[in-house]
Amino acid sequence: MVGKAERGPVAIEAIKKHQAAYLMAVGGAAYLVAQAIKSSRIIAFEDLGMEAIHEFVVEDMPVTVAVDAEGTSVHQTGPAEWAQKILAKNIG
Amino acid sequence: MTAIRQDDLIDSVADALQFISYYHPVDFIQAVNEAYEREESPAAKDALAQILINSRMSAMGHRPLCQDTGIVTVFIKVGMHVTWDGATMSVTDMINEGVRRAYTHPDNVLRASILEDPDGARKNTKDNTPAVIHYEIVEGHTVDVQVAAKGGGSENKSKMVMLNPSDSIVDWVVKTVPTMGAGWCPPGMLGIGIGGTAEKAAVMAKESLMDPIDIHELRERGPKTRAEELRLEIFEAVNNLGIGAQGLGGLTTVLDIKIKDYPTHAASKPVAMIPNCAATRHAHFVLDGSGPALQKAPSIDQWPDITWDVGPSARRVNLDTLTRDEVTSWKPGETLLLNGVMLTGRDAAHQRIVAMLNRGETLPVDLSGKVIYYVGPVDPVRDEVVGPAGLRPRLEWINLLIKCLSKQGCLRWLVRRSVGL
Repeated sequence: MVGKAERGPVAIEAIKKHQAAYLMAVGGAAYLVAQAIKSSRIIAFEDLGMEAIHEFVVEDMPVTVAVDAEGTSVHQTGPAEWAQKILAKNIG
Repeated sequence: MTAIRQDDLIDSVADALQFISYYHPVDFIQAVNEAYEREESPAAKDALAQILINSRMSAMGHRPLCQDTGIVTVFIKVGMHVTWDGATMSVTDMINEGVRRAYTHPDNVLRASILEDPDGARKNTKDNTPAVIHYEIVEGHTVDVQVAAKGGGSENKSKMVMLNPSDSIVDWVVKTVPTMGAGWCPPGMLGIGIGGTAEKAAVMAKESLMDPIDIHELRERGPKTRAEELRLEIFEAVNNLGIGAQGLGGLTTVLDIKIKDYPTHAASKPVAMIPNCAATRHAHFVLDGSGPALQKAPSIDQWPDITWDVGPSARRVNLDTLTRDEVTSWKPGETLLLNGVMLTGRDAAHQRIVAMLNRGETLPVDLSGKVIYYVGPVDPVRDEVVGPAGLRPRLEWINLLIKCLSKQGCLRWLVRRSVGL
């Protein structure tokens, strides 16, 4: 699945088990992301309005690998790494 | 006595909501741009670049910054010497009429995200009404209005605590922010209300987010009150957490800390904290009887003209021919460019699918072999193929996939060899 923000431990465990991955796009950059969507049509549950199931055809939609098949999450490694770097800077 | 016309309030509210759907406040853009320029983490810097480019595109195209166009929140201060000239509606009804007109505007339809019967049918009201309105009766001859459109993702991460009088607020914030994850879409602001009663603290936290970003000015002139000292202490402590833009790790997590306080009971220290996401949207206007108070469009020169290139290292992925080996070769933090077909779905679609599976029915759409994008896009206008379509994933979808596997194997492809769970 493609989404925003972090996945919890249950999801990460499942991603690892099934050798899948989790991709994220930048939350709040909706208009930019929409430019990569070349066609859109509703294919089910039209009565749900914005929550209907749409089929998108995308072209070069930028996403970041947030959890890889090994279960490594950038939302864990990134902040941990940068907290250390900031600490080192403040001391240095 | 100042006579305020009903239509002036309605028109001013509608205008402000349209305006903030596509214009970030200029102070916010400047703060994001400063964060972008000083960011050293490549992933966070990329995310900040995308936020700035998206903001400029929205400002030029007059289309929403974010697919979640928010729940309307209004702080209205009515002067005691104001009369409502020939009004046929209550002030609440006038504000809601303004919301209705803004969200159904044919040139820039905004997403209707408000559901009535919140623990029952959760039925969409279709026009984003009603607004949440906070009234105050004040001295004076004018009507002062702050209008905000607050995103659900950041609102969901709000926290509240009744501290002991001797407890450290900084410690509580530093302990609490990491538990909020990245779903509040940093970088943004934290609005904090201290004192009063439980509900007073929450309202102050929200209202504090209406103030402009001025943490650097505060640092230069120096704090004059305990609340100002706290703003600086919390600003530094939260940024030291290294959470960074979109939670990817980096130097800037918050652009400002806003605090309002109020006298409280000797036994109490209520604290509420409400985050504001990167889609910060609020506008201010004053009605003085001379007509509607309309927003003034900022110059596009206020936005930095950043070009963002994913670079030669970005991998192109064909979703229609994806293999498991390809998926397992992706590295954390790597940028991919997706091409091909994907399906969208959110909570309501998920609930209906689960109900259908539970009844043993066949789904109206074949989900096998499809990538799911968790999104509720804005309706398109003019020649658009789709309105702004950012994302908002939920654990429920993951549970659904696991459930599907055990029931019908309908989404096996997704789990076995796809872009995700």
